[in-house]
Amino acid sequence: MSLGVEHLTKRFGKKLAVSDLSFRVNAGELVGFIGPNGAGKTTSLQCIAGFLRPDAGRISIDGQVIERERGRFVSLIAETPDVYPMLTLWEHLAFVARGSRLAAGWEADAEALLRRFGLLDERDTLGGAASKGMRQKTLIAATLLARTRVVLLDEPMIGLDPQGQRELKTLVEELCEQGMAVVMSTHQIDTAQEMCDRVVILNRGTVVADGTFDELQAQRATAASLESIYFDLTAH
Amino acid sequence: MFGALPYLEWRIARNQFRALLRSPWRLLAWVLYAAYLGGMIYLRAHPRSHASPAPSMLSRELATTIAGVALLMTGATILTSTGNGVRIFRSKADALLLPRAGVGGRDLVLWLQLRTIVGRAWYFVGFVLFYVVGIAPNGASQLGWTTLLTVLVSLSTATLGLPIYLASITGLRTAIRTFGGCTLAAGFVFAIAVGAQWLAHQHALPAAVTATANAYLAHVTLAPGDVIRGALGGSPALYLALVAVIIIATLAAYALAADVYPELTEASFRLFDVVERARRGEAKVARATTSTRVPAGAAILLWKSALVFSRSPSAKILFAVSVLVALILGTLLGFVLQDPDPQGLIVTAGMPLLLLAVVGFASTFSLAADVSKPYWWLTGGSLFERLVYWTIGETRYAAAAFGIGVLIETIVGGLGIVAALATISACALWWSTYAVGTLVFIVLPGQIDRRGPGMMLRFITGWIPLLILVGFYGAAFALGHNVAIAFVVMTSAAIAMGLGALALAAERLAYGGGATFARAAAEQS
Repeated sequence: MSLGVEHLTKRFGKKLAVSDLSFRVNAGELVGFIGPNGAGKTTSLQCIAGFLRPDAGRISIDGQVIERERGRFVSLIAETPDVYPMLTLWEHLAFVARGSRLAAGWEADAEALLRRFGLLDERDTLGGAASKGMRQKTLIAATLLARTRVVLLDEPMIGLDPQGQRELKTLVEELCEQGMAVVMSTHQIDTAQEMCDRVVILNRGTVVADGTFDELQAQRATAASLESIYFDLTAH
Repeated sequence: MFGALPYLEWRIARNQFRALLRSPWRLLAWVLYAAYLGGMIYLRAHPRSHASPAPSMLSRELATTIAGVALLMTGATILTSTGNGVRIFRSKADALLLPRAGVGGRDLVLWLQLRTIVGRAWYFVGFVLFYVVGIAPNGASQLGWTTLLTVLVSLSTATLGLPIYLASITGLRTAIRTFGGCTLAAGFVFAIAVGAQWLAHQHALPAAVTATANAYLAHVTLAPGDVIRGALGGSPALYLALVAVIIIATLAAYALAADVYPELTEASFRLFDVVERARRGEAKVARATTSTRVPAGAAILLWKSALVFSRSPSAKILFAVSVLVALILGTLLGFVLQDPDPQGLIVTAGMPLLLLAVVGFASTFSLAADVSKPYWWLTGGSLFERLVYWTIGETRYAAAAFGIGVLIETIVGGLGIVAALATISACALWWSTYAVGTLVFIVLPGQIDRRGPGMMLRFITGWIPLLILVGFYGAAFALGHNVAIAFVVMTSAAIAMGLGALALAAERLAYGGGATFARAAAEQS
């Protein structure tokens, strides 16, 4: 299942947050979204996930524009791990499983996810008592459990311990192997270079570069690192 | 139909109940509260006497003022519901996770409306039982009807917000806002007209003004007041109308909702951002100048609050509006004070006290945010000193506006030199009430404590300190027959009470280490 974003534009009052953004993510592909603060990464992801209404543009999945119930196809792991304080970590997963109408036996998948993130012993901890990292891992696990075909990750590494970061990287690779289209925004350029098939560099709401690392080097006629290319493109 | 939503609500309710069971002190408070209400219900079921319901004591003017206030509230609801930031989801987690519930836009909106009704009704259930059963066990008294009316007005205004917002995003925003503005203006007209008429009846205004006012006020209908009086007398019309509003608002929201999820989240996110910034003590900065005269020790908290005020246009506007309202109300009450009858005295004393009673609740907003910041813990001085400076910093502008109102009231009322003492006393009372509210918040910081006995405790602690201080005033006046001495005694008692509350608060805060408040802040978000 592929994700297509064409001419996406979003304004907040007079401020143009995203301007004419277009890119495509094929099934099984991981695209990195990088850019400075205020570049429009989070706004773009929230528009794609259906949390914000774009002022213009078209968002399609497998060529079909999805307007309603986008949550069935797209899931977003937000930057801030907001959970229900009076719901246990397990209940967050159960809620998502019930909402996604997962087939019987989802409990085993949920347990496996919690185990991978080292949360199985904490499954009955209330969201309000969980650490930031635990909340982040729970939301990631819940999203992965839902198995939507498009997964958007907004700064997913923030708040994760090194083990959690490594586990997430492995899981994202597995998602791609299963044919999901994944977009990940990050400030960690080395992570983007290491993990992503392609990168989209945003600056002030517009795309300033889109391609594989090799393509970006070729376009700039340089053998420089992604970090150097990034700083070069976002300097102004 | 509602997907995983019933599961979500059931689990949250169950976990809240379990949290209560795990907390002995909270459980004890709930047991005592339930025992009290149970006893009252028993007494109601087995009355010893058959006293007839109390006759309606509400004056026409007061009833019309209430109707005016209701119109003001409705207008404000309409205007806020068509604003940029609207509270539709309970929290960010709610906004981000509810799309996973597997329901369509209409079903989600219907669920949100039903949740609002149940949640708001549950919020009030303690009050309803307390008033109707606890205070007025001998029949359907006016107090009972007032409580029921309050609940229904609260429910109807709460359910109106969502359909109004949904209608406003369909292109009717300007028309709805105009209607809201007109409703607000009508509320003002009723309130001002009735206030002027009441003053005229009190013969508090100069003769020429009274004559002119009477000539015009003869044309002002008091019909809305009659509706309120009828309702408090047991007439079902208004109650049925309010129930109809709730049902229509719910159905209208369902009908208007379609693919509205992005609009709902966007409006909620905007409000969450505003609230979050306010809790963090951040304001929209007009200008930021470097301040070089930084005080030492705990006084830095006072300096910080002044800096926030000086850089926040909204805080300055709020202060200017508060002073303006204080000047108007102070002048009006001053006229009453010139020639007070018993009812006039109740109003002149009661209105400022009513305002003071709600002050304590305000402290719950910013303490958790401030305590979680490094400057709080790195500041020199004891915790007690910090709390004293912090409460002064938080209250000084509002207390100043309140003091200005009291100053004008006492000057117009002809109290002469006592006016200065009354002003100082008013400021002290404001600060003292805030200090007591701070203590209550430190003892009961969680959201779970805002219902049932916790809510009642907050309500009671808003009034008891004030009644004690008024008692000090009364006792001092009875002994010395001197208003000045009575004010000095009340001021001293208020300061002592405030310092005592903060001493206890400091002890509790040291015990909790600030973590309690960080958690409370997280719960509130």
